[in-house]
Amino acid sequence: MDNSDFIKRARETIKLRLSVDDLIAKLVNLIDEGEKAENSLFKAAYDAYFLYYPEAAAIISERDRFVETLSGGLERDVVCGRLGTTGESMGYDMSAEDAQILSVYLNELKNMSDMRTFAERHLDKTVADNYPNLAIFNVNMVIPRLITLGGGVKGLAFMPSSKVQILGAERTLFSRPGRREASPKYGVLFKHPLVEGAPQDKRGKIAKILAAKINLAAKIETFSENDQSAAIKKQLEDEVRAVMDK
Amino acid sequence: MIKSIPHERAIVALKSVMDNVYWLQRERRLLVSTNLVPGQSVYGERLFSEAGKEYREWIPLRSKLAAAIYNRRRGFEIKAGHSILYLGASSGTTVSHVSDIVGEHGKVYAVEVSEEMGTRLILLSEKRKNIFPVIEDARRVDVLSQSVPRCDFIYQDIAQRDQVEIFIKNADAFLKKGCFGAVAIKAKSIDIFKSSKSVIDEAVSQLRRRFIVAETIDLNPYQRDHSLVMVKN
Repeated sequence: MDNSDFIKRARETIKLRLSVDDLIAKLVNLIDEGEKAENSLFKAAYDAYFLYYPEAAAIISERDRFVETLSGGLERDVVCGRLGTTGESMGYDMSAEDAQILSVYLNELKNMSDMRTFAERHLDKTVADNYPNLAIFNVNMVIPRLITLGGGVKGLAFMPSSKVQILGAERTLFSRPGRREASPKYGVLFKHPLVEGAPQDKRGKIAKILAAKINLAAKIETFSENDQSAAIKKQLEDEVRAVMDK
Repeated sequence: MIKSIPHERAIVALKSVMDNVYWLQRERRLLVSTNLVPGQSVYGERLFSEAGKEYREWIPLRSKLAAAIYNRRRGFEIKAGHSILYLGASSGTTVSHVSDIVGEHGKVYAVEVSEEMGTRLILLSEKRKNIFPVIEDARRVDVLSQSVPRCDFIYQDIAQRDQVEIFIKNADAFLKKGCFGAVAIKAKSIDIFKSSKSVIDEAVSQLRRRFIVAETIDLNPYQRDHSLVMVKN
């Protein structure tokens, strides 16, 4: 007997199993790994630039600002006008050739940063197109991360909302000594402005409400596919207001 | 990459272990299997050719079945022409050697649940016509039984907490009477806190309730905290 029947069936099984959730998971991974690479490249590039022009580098030590400021040229006479630093530097005087090498790396850093912004925007669009109910919660890549950690939208729909609330905080949850200490209040959800912006003592409650609504939205996506985002959004706002007014 | 061994040494070099599997006596003893698809290396292993036949190195650090043969110093009850049920096929490293052993008249039913590993397995089975890939959870015997017949040998290599129950379920459904099976037990997947010896003892006693346990092979130093348990139905 030939194995072609088995191969055909196996191929079909794999094709059926792959969905947009897998794409989302891979994109999240790409963005995260890209950011890691960006950070380590930034560290080295920053050190090199510090050698050349320490006065300016001390001011622009933050990654995004560093990349943005230097994207228009890295020479001292260009940068000093933009930042208001002295043209007379105590740094090492690089030749034009040395600076050229540095600028190639800085250019690459800029490309990586642009690429990440582009990918993030595309990811948001993918979520909005496929999951309209979930998209209303999607700020700072919260939803794609939850989909990745929860094993797809179906996985999110089938888990209790308390698990959605602490997705991404597994290490804290399982490393509490004797498991007697309080469990974490939020994982990935902390990145949502509603939670991050709330006062310390209300973050847990808001994370709980948010998790419940995300869970509800995931259930709608899985079982009915209607767009009920307006109703969910209203419920969320009411409940959050009730907590904040207390 | 084909390395040829010197002719005069090669004649005494091959010592049969089981069907299509040999010890190759070089500076160190090497386990090799006859290559079913000559010229092709599956996962980057070395190829040796001798007297018109080609052999693939079977590395114990990468395959638990090979580690068991190294530690046991003899082969298993897998013969050319057999039907084998292989649970937890992964990307097909060990599967390719099992497919070498059973030869072109044998069959290897390779079950794997993950899509990524399953994709590699399918690509392998397109080259080796005796591998029959099934992308399914090994727990779902009812689904498997729609395509898999009764087999002469079951090998299981899945690192799951309930792997022994899964093996017993599959053996009930697919293992012929009087035939053998082998379970590779990863102690750390069953219980991370217990010592691996007590985990394996527990698994063996669980298997003993259903089968005759022929042998337990510790896979140290090739695979730490792993054991291979041979059972007879």
